[in-house]
Amino acid sequence: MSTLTIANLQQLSDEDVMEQLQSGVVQAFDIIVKRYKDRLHNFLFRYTHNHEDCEDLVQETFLRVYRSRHSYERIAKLSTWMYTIALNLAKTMYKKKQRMTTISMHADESDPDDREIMIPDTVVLQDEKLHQKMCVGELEKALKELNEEFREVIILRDIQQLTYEEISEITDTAMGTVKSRINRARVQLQEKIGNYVKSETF
Amino acid sequence: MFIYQTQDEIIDDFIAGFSDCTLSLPEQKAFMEVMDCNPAINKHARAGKFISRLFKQLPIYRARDGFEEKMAASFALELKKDSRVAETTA
Repeated sequence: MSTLTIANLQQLSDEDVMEQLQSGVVQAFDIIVKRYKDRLHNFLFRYTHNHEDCEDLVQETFLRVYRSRHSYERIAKLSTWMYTIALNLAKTMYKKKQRMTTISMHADESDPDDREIMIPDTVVLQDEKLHQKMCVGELEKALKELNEEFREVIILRDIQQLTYEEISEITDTAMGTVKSRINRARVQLQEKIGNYVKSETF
Repeated sequence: MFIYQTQDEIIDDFIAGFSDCTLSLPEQKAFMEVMDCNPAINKHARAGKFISRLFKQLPIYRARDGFEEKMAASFALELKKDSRVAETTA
């Protein structure tokens, strides 16, 4: 067993910390949690949209990292490997949630009160900050509506700022396909939020 | 007229580069000429740049206070489980 202190562990690269965890230094786990908790939270929040579920998923990701620590090989960056685990968990949870939403939102045709109410939005936004806020809100909404293949690459690229190579590895998709999906996802998002975007912004 | 196929890797590279602002100046100049000639490429490239900029304004969600303590408690249980398994297999 290594005699590395927490301070020593903090100096190591992610991959070296993981190696320590593999060799039985359990304190290395705390270092990984400290380094990744916020990044994973920001990533998984786009799937859960609430902090409680998100925290559960982040915890589960870390526990899976620990449980499968021996299957990690240094040829991959630790971050890439962790995002792969997190993405798989998120996809499973997202599918479950979608099934539930489909059931709960189904309109009852026999009930005259159970129908969609359209509220016309006639407010013209003059204030730039408010306009930007609306755009961001619409973007979050539009992101939820993207199909899964587009959502995952756009979140990894535009929110997590990962490289195309890393995204290709995490999603197990050719890099050309990743780029094409990201480009198409951005067009779809722009079309979805188009009504909120002033023409001069383009 | 140049037609943009959605699976054209070179064009996709350029659109991605334009959106991420990673093209060199000559590349950007040349690509903007292509954009001027092809509305489909233009649409993709401008949407790409706009959306990637807009994403930078999204709020960043961080783990809440107390997360590390909760995580440590779950990890302690995991270690306990591990040692129980090790004891039974010993």
